[in-house]
Amino acid sequence: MKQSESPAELGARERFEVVVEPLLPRLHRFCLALCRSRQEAEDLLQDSLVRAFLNWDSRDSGSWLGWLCGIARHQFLENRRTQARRRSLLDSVLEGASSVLGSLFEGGTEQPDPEARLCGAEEAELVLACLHALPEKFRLVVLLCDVEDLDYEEVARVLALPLGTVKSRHSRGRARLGVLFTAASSRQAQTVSEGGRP
Amino acid sequence: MSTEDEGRPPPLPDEVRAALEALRGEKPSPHLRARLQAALIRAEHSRGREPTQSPSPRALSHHPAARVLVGAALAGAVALLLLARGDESGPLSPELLPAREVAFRLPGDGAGWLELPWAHGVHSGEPATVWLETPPPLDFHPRLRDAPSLAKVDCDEARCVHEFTARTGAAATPLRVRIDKPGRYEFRVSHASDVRHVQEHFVVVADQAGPP
Repeated sequence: MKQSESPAELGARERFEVVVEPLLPRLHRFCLALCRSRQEAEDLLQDSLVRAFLNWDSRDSGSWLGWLCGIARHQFLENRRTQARRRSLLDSVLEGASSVLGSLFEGGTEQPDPEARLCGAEEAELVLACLHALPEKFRLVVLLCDVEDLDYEEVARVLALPLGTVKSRHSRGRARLGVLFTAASSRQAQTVSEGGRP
Repeated sequence: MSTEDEGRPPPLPDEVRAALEALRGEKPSPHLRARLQAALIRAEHSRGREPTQSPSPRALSHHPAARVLVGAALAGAVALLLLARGDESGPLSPELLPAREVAFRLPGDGAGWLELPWAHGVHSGEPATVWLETPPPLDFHPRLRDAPSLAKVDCDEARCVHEFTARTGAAATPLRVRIDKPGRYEFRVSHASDVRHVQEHFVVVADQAGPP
């Protein structure tokens, strides 16, 4: 059995997979930062990849990661709009109320679901929860700059924002993240020292 | 954004920096990778049904050597994926097992059931999601109680892809395929659990039992 062909000899899907495979972890983290649950993030990642594959021919000359993150974000917004159309006003009110009450009981930081708590390292889960507590406009900039190490120009392209806005949001997002993380770590340490579960 | 600060971002505290570094270790599970690959295969098939300038799968599939070439290309792609993964690869990354040839003797009355010797043991008894690619002249008929979540993912002239959840370990779900003619048949089995993700390739050579 032949074990390796040059990329030019592969089919479209195989070539797409070869390019996308090394970027999957980063795109996965981007989806995790966007979504409130792992399940939603996985669905988003799948939908985004399929959409990217089907529109591969129309890709511009920017980086692959930037292009894929842009697709994931558009898909996410589209999903949200679809959900919003389906949701009744009453549902929205109930959900909003429970979310506020939940945040109050949890000290203002949304807790990851039990599966998430088991799956990842505690530190990563904690910082992800803190990222989720940031408004989205700060969250994505901090993720792309500080986790994915994209430069400001690339982040501006991915999020379709002016360069100055990206820099500003990075500063403010970092500052807020630092405060949230310190507070969450203290709460966690306090809970552990009292003999409870974090 | 009226108070936007154009200066440098504030430095991250060490503990936040360490936590963000830990977040970089977050990767898609083997199960998710397999699910993504299956979705891309479905998308490819749905796109393949639209008119294109490339040779049609129908034309290719009618050529006797076509399946071998398609198989080699797929195997090459998987090998490239494994090579290209580099530092991203971990113990849970997809593993390509060497192709195995399986000899099968058809019974005297024609059709027979062959059980593919898939490596279910790698999953340590954990349930696995299985994607089985079969050449379309062949049917894949696991009994329903063996694979209650059986779902045909997609089918075209070149191959069919079936997806289902299987038991592994001592009570593993048997992967049985029905073969009714002598010939050479290729099967690809991708199975993923929380423990491992393995891709296997079986080449079945079926011949007819001689007269008694």
